Amino acid sequence: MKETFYKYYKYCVLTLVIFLGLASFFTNIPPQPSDTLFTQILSFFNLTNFYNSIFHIILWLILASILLYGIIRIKNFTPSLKFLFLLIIILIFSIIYEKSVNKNYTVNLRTGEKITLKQLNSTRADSFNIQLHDFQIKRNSREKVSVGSESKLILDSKDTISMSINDPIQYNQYKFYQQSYHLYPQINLKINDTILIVTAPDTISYDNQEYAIQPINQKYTRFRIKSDNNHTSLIKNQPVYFESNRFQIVKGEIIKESLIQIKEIQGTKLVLFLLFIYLFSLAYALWGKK
Amino acid sequence: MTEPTVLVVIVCLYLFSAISDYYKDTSYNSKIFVAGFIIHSLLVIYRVVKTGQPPFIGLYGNLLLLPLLIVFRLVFWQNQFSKFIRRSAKIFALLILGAAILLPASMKQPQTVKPALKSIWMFIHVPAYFLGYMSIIIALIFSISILMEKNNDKQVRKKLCTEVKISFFLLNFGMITGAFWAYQSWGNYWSWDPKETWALINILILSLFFYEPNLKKRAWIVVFTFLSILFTFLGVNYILPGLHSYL
Repeated sequence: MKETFYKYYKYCVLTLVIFLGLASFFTNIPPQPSDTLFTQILSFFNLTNFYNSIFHIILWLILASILLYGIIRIKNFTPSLKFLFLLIIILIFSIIYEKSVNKNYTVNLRTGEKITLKQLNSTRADSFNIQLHDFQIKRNSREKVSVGSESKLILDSKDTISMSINDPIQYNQYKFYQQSYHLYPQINLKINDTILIVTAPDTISYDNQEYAIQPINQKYTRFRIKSDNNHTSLIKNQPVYFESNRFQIVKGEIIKESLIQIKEIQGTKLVLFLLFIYLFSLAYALWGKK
Repeated sequence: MTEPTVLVVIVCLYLFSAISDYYKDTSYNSKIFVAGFIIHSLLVIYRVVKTGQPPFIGLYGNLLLLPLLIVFRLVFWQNQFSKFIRRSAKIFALLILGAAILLPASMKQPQTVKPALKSIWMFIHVPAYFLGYMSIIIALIFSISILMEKNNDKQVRKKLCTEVKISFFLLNFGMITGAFWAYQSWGNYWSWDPKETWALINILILSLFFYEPNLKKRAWIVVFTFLSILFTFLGVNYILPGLHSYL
């Protein structure tokens, strides 16, 4: 009995290890242009999206059933080991449930910008507003390196709540996390007599001609202006003649955009609680009285 | 005395002790080894004070800390290990310190700690993994001694099992505290980030040890776990970048 259990456990674990390992290499590869044997294998095992595939879930369910077999059929397993196996089975099911019902949204908000939850998920009934009231980047005074960021949110047009990295906030069935931020240079670009507001990098259209505006340096003082055939660089307040037009950056500022992750948390605390219990049961199964 | 010079002195002391071990086992050797350990500890403490950061930040810090933990085990639990295990552990510590010396100067400079890392969980999650790595290295040395048929008695079997149990628990502890930290910082206790995936793979491989009756196969499982951990520790950071690319 024990040999049979071990044999099945070994095969299942090795299969999981092989697929998890391979998927870690292939998850983020871009789609391949030709239909080669390699791409056929990737798509057959769904290796580019293995973690969200049914095949992955089935492998974990097989492991759960092998552990269940161990609990029921093997008499000389200690009660603490059987409890540990039971806990792992419950954990597998809770994680599958938690991952399948909860959704994650990443939103980019600028100061004053507002979105509603309905815009992110139309199926949710409990829609509310999320507005970025203020956003601050904390910098190290010595090296001027970013050491954190803080967003002040107005939720449902009433409560103002602050959050920063490692300090999330919870609202209804959602948790809000300060994930990161983006900085964009916003420039007033004067082309001949017309002033356009551009958030670089972007493409603008002037006189039936498309121009791409890209920042060159990290301080956003130099930009590259590109047309179909040509390009030149542009420095603030210095006019440049490019393709018979006069270009000049007359004003520039840096726009901060807060990157916020909104996560539904149904059943998440149960999973974390089970993981906590698992650690104690593991310690007892390893070192407790036999 | 500069930091690299101190590091070379430490390596010389450990090397002298390891070489002397092959000829005669005297208390003189162990005194030199303990002296190396004290200077090594002082170097790590000096770096912590100088940079104001925990010792496990950056690859260089890791390569200084891991051998210190191995040496710590050898100094304080000396009677637990046979001559072969002690010598091999010293060679392991020397190899890791050698890698630290060979790192380019830019990688030895203190790094700015990323905002997401500034959490109390860093002082629980990362040390748990380091202690787990230390145990798996000791288990690996036991496994090598079994595979080389240096020593296969009941004592070695028991000690290997103890080391694997410690390592298995600490790898689990590190992964679960990491899940709590990730839930707090990123909103997701598990993201299938390459480092997370490989941490799970390590645990899955090592779990095979507990049901395998054959001692040599058990030793091979530890060897494969060590290789997998080595890939998780170094390879994942450079080949599979993700949320955990901190080294």
